[in-house]
Amino acid sequence: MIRRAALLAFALGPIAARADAPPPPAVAEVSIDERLGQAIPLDLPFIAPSGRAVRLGDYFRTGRPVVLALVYDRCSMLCSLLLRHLARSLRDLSWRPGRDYEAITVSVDPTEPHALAAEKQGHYLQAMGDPGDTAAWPFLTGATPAITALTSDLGFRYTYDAETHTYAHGALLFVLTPGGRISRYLYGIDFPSSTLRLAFSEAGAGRFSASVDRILLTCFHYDPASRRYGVYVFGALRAGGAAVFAGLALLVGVLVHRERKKGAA
Amino acid sequence: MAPSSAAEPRFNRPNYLTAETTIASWLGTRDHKRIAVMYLVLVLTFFFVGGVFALVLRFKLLSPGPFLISAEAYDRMFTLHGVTMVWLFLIPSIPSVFGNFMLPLMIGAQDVAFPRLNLATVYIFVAGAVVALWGMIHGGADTGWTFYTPYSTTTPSDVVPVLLGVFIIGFSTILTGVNFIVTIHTLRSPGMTWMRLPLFVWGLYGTSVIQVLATPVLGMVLLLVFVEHAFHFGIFDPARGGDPVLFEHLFWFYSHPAVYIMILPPMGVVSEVVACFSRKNPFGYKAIAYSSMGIAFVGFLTWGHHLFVSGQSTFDSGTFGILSMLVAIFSAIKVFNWVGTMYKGSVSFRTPLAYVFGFLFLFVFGGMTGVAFATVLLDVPWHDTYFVVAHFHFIMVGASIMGFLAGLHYWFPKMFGRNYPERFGLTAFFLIFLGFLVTFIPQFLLGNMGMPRRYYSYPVRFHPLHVISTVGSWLLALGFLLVLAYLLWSLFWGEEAGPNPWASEGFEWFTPSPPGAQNFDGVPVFTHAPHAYALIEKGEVPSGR
Repeated sequence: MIRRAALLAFALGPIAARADAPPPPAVAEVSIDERLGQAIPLDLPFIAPSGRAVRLGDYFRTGRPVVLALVYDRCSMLCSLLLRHLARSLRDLSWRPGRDYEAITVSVDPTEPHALAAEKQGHYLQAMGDPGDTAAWPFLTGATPAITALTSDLGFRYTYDAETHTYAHGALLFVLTPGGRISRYLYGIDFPSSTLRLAFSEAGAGRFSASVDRILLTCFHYDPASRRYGVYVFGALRAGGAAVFAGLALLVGVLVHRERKKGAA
Repeated sequence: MAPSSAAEPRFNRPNYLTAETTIASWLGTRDHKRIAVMYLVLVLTFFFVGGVFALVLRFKLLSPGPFLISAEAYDRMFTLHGVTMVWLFLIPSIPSVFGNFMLPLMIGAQDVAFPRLNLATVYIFVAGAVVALWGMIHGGADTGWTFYTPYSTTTPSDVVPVLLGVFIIGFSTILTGVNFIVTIHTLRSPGMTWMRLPLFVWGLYGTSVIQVLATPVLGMVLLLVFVEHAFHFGIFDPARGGDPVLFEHLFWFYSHPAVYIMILPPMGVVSEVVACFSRKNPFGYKAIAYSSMGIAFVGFLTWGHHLFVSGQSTFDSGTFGILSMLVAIFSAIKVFNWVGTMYKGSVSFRTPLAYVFGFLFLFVFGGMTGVAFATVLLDVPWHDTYFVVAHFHFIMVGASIMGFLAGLHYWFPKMFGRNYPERFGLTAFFLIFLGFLVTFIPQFLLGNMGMPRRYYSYPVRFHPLHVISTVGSWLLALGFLLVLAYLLWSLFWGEEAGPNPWASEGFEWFTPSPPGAQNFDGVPVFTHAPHAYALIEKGEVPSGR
């Protein structure tokens, strides 16, 4: 919670006051209503960086899991930080966007032109180490109805501060299944490749079933408190500890039983 | 069992040492006695290495500022001292050496239940030690022997081989434990009922249970640190979403019971030595035997007393504190019974008993400071100070090593058929005992004054006490070197001891000394409990001698 508040404060920058002061009204309205498992509307119209009209569902027809970032391209602080980290994590991932999964960025600012989105896209594709592949990670812009429909279905509540011309919003990624259902909310600005990989595996369900990640997923679990994939250490240790204890109890039990039988004979 | 014949030679030949003499016969041996001797050589070597680390540390602390070694080297040195002493010496010392040698002799068995597995444990131990030593030479860890996260998962020093080494050694410990448990259950000779088991065997049984139950947790936790260090998973490092307190819980879940792996075997040794040198059967046999099991059980419920300052709830801390104090009750039962055994006994003050006296004094002192530590209010100011260092050295060095030396001196004639010069034995004891007190009592005072542990430099006001402590370490070292010298000498030129120089009624003495390659010609039959001096005097049971 503290982390989230800190991130929100960071997002607002000029609006944010001292940490111990009550949050400004803009921040109070910013939150995430998790809607895990819910389907998002796939027929929403958006504009691709090239200026071409697309529908959100175009990116969900491939049978691949989708990672979605909600930002706005004029944002100079949190969004760029989040996208920079995301680009780095995607670069480190052995899987490629457009081949193994889909990555989409949608701007929440209806006034932003697609040219600006194209410029930002070029910047982050370069950071990801694949500057030529513009289809790999589309940066979409759109009109208010589409943006509102998408953000409300994702449970992403943000506000606009007219005074500073900034949006107050949370920092997170959405991982969606190939069918357009919400699979995971990954909070923060730093997303380890291992976390992304597991989130994709989980969202991709059967698609990655042959890989080691399915096994890994049984040892890793999503911890709602820390909102990360942690190793299910306690569970694994409990199971291991119980197995060792049961093994020893069985051994001693069998040995005592044998002794008694021998003694009785 | 049948007494050995009167015509038996003073020095049994051929024996397990002389039956075969090739190097291959040693390296491939399945004889528990030879395996014990191999372990003895190994653990003494590591004790020497760990001791040298300690001497360098103490020598550096002669000066409050930079001196002799760099701060980084100092950090590595105390880590290696701890790792070597705990895993390469203290944990294997008594079970693997005296346990291996005496257990089959005490229960009338020809060997342990799994002789091949027993040999395998030696090689696993050596493999683990080599990996750990390689890590030490290659760069050395600087985390302290506790490997606390998140530092251990981010340290630039080479912590991985040291972790792997300790992980491998864990398997040796577990397998030895399983072997002993099965041996005690299945290989007891006719007449050797549970209530006739020598108290040393009870100690080994309790120790083995802890080894089997606790060591896997250490294995898992070290593996997790290794995975986090090598692959950057977020398990314990909060920067990666991990939980460092989880590490502390898991580490101490093993490492606190590990203290009892180090202390139960010396308690067993003390029970044997006290009875032998007081010419009395152990007072409160059942109480001593069951309290070993009690310590083994309660030892698993006390780990939280290491986490009083790690954000644990007050209720948890209080509960762990009270549970920790239960250990003191079981320990006190033993201490009173040992004293009760000596009471009105025909006590002969020989070197093994001298070490038992040392054990009793230092163990009670260390134990009482342990009870003080279990009190949350006292623990908080003492936490991570020299007071902790002094406290656990009273238990680990004071009690465990005193017990080890008592066993070494008591069973040296049994193992090698020769005696050592008693005068040197007692001189070395006094040097070690005095050296120990001079080394560690100032550390209690330093801790109480606020000197934190593991610090390279310190304020000048602590200087005099540090100097005294360092001088004490020289006395200790001198004592240990003296022991090494006269035991090595005695090995070749010592007086032939005969089968039973202490006239002990402990069952392990009923075989010739040194024993033959085969422990017993037939199957021995036991008719009474060990150390039944009173009954033998009355003629109610025959002497085993």
